[in-house]
Amino acid sequence: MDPLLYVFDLIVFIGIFGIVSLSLNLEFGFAGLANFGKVAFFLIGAYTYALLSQIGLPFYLCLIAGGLISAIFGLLVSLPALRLRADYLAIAVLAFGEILRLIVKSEDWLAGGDWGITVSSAISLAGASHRVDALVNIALVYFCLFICFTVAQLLANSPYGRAMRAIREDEIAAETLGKSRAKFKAQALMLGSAMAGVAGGLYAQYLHCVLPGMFMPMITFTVWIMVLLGGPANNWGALLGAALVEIFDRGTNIVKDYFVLPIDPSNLQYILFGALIIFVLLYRPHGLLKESSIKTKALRLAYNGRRSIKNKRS
Amino acid sequence: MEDALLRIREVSKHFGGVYAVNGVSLDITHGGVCGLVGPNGSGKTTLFNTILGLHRPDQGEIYFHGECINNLAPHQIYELGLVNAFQLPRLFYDLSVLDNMLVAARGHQGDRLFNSLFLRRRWQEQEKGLIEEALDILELVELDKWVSSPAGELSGGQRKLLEVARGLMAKPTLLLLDEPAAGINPVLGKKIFQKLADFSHNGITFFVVEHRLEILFEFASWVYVMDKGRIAIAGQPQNIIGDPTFYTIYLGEE
Amino acid sequence: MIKRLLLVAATLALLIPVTACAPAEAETIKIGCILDLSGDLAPMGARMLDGAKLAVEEINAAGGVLGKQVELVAEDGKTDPAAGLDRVKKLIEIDGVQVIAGPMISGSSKLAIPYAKEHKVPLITMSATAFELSELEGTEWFFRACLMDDAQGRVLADVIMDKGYTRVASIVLDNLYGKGVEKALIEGLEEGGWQGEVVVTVHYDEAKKDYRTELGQIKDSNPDVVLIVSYADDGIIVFKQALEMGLDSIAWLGCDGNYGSGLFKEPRSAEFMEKAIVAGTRTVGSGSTYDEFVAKYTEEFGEAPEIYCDTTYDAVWAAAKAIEAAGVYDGVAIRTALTKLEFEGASGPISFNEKGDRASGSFELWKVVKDPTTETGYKNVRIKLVTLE
Repeated sequence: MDPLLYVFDLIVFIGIFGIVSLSLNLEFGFAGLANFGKVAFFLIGAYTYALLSQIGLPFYLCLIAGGLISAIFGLLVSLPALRLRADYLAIAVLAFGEILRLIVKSEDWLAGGDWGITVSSAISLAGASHRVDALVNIALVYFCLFICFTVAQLLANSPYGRAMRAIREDEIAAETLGKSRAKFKAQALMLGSAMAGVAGGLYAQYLHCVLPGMFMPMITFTVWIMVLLGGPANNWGALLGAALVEIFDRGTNIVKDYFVLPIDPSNLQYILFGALIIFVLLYRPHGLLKESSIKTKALRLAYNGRRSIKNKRS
Repeated sequence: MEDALLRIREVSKHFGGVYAVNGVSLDITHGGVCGLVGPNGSGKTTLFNTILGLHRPDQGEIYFHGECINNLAPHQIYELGLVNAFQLPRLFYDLSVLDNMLVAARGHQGDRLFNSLFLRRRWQEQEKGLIEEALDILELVELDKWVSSPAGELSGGQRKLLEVARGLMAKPTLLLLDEPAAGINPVLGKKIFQKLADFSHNGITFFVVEHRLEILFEFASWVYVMDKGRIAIAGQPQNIIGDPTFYTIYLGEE
Repeated sequence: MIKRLLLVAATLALLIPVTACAPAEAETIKIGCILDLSGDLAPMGARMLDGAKLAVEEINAAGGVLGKQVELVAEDGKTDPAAGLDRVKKLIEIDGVQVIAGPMISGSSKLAIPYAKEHKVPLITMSATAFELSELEGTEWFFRACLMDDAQGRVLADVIMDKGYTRVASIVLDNLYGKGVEKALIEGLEEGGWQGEVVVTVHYDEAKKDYRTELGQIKDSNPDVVLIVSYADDGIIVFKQALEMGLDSIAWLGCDGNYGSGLFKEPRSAEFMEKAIVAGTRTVGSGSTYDEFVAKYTEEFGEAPEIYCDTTYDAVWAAAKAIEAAGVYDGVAIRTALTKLEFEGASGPISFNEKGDRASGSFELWKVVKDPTTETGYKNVRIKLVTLE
């Protein structure tokens, strides 16, 4: 019995879903794309990792491949994304995710069908204790999270990110100012899918298995809650949302043992979760953290010392 | 014979059988301000949107710098130097005023994905210069105090100004302005047009939709009058004013 | 202000698992239990939980285990493999549980078995019947109170061969359970040297709620007997629509998933079953222990036990008996005790082979008859009892 181990497990999950949350934040928060099929790219990354590690590739190649293959699918999905209205796109991508899951579930030869594929850990140290194993996973996951976060921040705080947000605000106007919406949307979906794919690979090696039942649409909705709760277009918000949702999920499950309630304790989680969502929608509809402003070096100088710059010129 | 900057030949655009633009031909030559007037519903905005690439002409051709732009996407038309300021401002309301201006900047190295991740220094300097330019223009339209505010916090008139300012920021060769001074107090409105005239000496050509003829008199060298989707009359502003057809168009049959 | 409040709340929530250690001198003996109380299998799981609670009541009434009262720590697996694994982790790391009745589904079991082996806590499933689970590394930590699908499939194969059917069709759930029984049936037929033909195998999604397309495929293939592997809710729809499509003229074989009064809620479903089902299989207790269980359950909860309630009851009893036999509340010792355990459970004689699978047990062949004394007008009756050694 080791509660700290459970906390470590929680930290790993926050890391993995933090990456997925960042990816949805990039697609929706910054680029305005309502991706309701996030789990599909998570699945693709996980299954790619599982299949490649089965044939013996080292874990970092499996992770990278998972990201790349996911990105390719992201690009494919972006093609109809241009022609479809946002709500039709949402339904279409949602369906895509389910179709993918049902294919891997029914086609045994593809990826183990219902039985799935067993996956071994990315890094296993011989004779390591459970805590050390957990810490190794934390290190791996948070390393990947750090890279994804850095990329997301660099993008957000750049003219590229500015253009992406412009497309989100008014894609027609942005297009007439020289921003190709096709290019930006495709790139947003590719990057977002790549991140989700890497997260999927990390998930597969941590749970040591991929099963179709692990990739239900509920995951997409959970990630949406993470992004909306934390605050769209704010990368710290995405991480905060992921952390809060995971902590809440597990915390309520533990807390239920300590209260004698008139309601079925297994429903407590859902009730509290619903209350949380209502609370957020009423009091913080833009999420806990506001949209992050675009911070480039030049802008910072402009906002802080505008007059001094002006005077230097004249 | 001067080569026209913008040449429109027999362009038509219909929506479900109704011709908003019906066989329009016109030339905009380099330099100066050209006016487009006409009653509401005469097709001016549709014409602008077709030029911009938001609609594909059903008939006819549009040439910019001698190149046919019928099938180009709006962002490609921007690349050629043709920029637009909408009648109802299409700002990026959650972005700051300054960010709105910077989006319009032409040839920003930082616009590319690779550069935003890896070669950040390449465009940091460029951005500083662009900010200077933006601040200069914002001063012109008296929005310099609002630089860091979200565009959504501006009043209606200020939004129009930002829309125009953004168009200027884009360093266009030809700038289409759809009623740039509508909803703005006359003093500021005249000041805007003065600035436009200054810019036009710097090589920008303006094609302006404007109802107030007295302003067009002062600044425009040529005026087209549209009615029911066609060009009814064209000429120098003082000749237009003397043409009885002009009043029939605006006021209906006398 | 709100931000700060939320941060404080979040920190507190994070601290709960760290501080939620059970005190060293435990007042109760904990038996963990993972059942799916939400998700697709929620109705089934809720009834099974009652079976577990009944067992705990009886155990405590008889004096508990190792001189202490038994506490059932029940968790919701949500019919989701990842959630099931999380519950196992929570029970082991936060609640300090040393034996778990569950998980309920094969997916959760697949994820949980390596963890159970690593952390030395035996699992006793009451309903995860996928054969492949016994091939996994760590399966010696995974015990089954239920018989596996292959046994059920073979019993059905025998029925087909006995009755001389030559054209077999199957319409089964598209999951490990449905496909497992189907596969075992086909293998059983092959091993028995059957000369007939499997004309069509149809796998359906239980969430679909309309199976006319699938039933059409069955009809078109012209079989003389059809295997149906379903749960209750989808089974009702399949049978109702089969009746409408006139498929009751063919013989049908049922299984434990479509056993029980739950299937009779819809009169047309019951009517079809009465006409068309020549035999269904299910794991069953024989003799007085089962009848006693049914009586006690019905009295306590007001309705008859459904599928797997008996195995859940047995899984909890097995856990309690193993703890008592081990003499100490420790996973390794409990596991050893389980390997030697033998007792008469509600679902029949309980003992486990070296892979942790149920070594003995019995199946019954059942069919549906009209019975005016019941609420629905129908009931299941036994045709024959088949005991496996």
